[in-house]
Amino acid sequence: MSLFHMYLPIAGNSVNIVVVLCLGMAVGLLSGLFGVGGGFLMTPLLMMIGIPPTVAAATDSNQIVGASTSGTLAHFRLGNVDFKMGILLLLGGILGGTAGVEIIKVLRAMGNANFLIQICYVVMLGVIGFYMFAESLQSLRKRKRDGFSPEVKKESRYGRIVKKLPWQMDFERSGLRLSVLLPLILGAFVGILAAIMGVGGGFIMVPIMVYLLRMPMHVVVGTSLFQILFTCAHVTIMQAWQNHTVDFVLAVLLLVGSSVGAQAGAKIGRKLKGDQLKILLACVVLLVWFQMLYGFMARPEIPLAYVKGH
Amino acid sequence: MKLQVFLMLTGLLMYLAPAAGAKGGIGLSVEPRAIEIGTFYDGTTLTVSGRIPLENRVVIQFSGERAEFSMKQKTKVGGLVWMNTGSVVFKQAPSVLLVFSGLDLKKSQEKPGRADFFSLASLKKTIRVEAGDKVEGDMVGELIKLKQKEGLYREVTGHITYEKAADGLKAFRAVIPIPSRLKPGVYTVEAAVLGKGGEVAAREGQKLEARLAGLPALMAALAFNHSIVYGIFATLIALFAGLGIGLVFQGKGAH
Repeated sequence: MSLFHMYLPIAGNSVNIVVVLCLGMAVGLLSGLFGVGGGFLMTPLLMMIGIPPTVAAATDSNQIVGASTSGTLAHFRLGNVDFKMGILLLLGGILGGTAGVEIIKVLRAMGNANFLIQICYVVMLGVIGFYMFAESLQSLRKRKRDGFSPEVKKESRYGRIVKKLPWQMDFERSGLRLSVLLPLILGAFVGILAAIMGVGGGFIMVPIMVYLLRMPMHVVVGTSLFQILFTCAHVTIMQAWQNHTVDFVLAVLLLVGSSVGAQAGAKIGRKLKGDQLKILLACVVLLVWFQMLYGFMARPEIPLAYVKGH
Repeated sequence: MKLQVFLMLTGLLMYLAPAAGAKGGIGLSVEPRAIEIGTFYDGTTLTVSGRIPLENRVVIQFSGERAEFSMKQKTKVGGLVWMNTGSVVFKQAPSVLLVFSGLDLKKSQEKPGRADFFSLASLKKTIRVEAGDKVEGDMVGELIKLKQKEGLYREVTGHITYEKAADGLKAFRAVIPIPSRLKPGVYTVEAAVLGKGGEVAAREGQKLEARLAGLPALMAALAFNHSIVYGIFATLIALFAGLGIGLVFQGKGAH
């Protein structure tokens, strides 16, 4: 028995409280800084300290509810949450997620779906990561060279199509006028991908908000966190109800760390410029991409994996 | 069929009957009699003691109930990536197996006819594997490696001390560490008396229950018996904790 350790009844293991608090803080920092849930990082870290994979993923959703609430609040106070956009993306996400669950059933019935999904994930992360990195690097260099002169961009074909869409609406917080259909469609697209890939979707949602909805980076982070809060609350309830894989004790420990980390992340993010934030996020995306690629290609130490939590 | 019944009865008698060498049995004692898994549980120790003939040695085993594990084997697909492909089901695999002895079990097992009941190597004979066509290789060996990595299968030399006692018997005492990754259930502590040739002269076992207590018991009951309430409760607590921390930061005058 040790005062620094706590037994987790659902995970069936004991963990060091200090280690879990530090993990939560580190991932919460990323969440507050970039507006991502951090599940991509937290789940493997939890597995490394002996938490079964299914419990790690479900419990992570629970702690993200806390971290994203704290992060949303911090960004709301800074004026960085576009609630109108967030609600539309969320509605699209719910519709897309429901469709995605059906699609995954069909894919699984066809066989070898996991292979296709994982390859899709690696390709998507690679494309997003490299594009964001190159674009923000170019932008940073240009700003250094030309100073802060306002950038006059020629309207693209995409921009012209978007302007022609019906039901245009003002999104004051983002400084945009867009069709209601666009966030709904893009939200549904992310929902489908998130359901198929089994991830929260923050990594896909943030670049979509930046490049397809053309929202300012600071508003993207706050709005993404607001949307993640609801997605993860839904996942937590479903996982606890259907699979009994949410370890509440672990989630509380993680969210104490991550909520503090998310506040710190929001404050650091405020001091960085949009392009600097983008290039940092691109680096994290590329790091995850490389880790996944390595995981696929390197020979596993033990070529066995549990089908369901153990 | 008759031969199988005969072998089973012989095995049962060997297990139940005290050894000829250890008159009156080993007198196995295990303390504590149950494992309580409370809030701050981080593994525990069991003290196992008894008496054996002077010329013999003892091996102690802590094992969990035998269960079925469904797993996937990873193989290289397209000569490029490692994927979960074939399905493997391990039957009669103990959830935990810890073996403590004063001798090198690997060396002892090199000679035929020696005791190998109390070793990880013996699992290759007792675990049954049901695998699809795509599965290949030593699957039980890989399962043992995986469980060793999780700290649930262990073979340890040492941990047993002997004291001289009267009537041609010596007392043994072992303090054995139990892992933190322990699930509630019934476990067995067994002691085997090994003869000079390494053969098992006697075996004696005791059942031991590991049960949840305090907060872990409350949480597990809620999670498994009222799962939807548990899910909503977990979500609300996370939400209010996040709000609370957010307000604390606001209170410190950030903005």
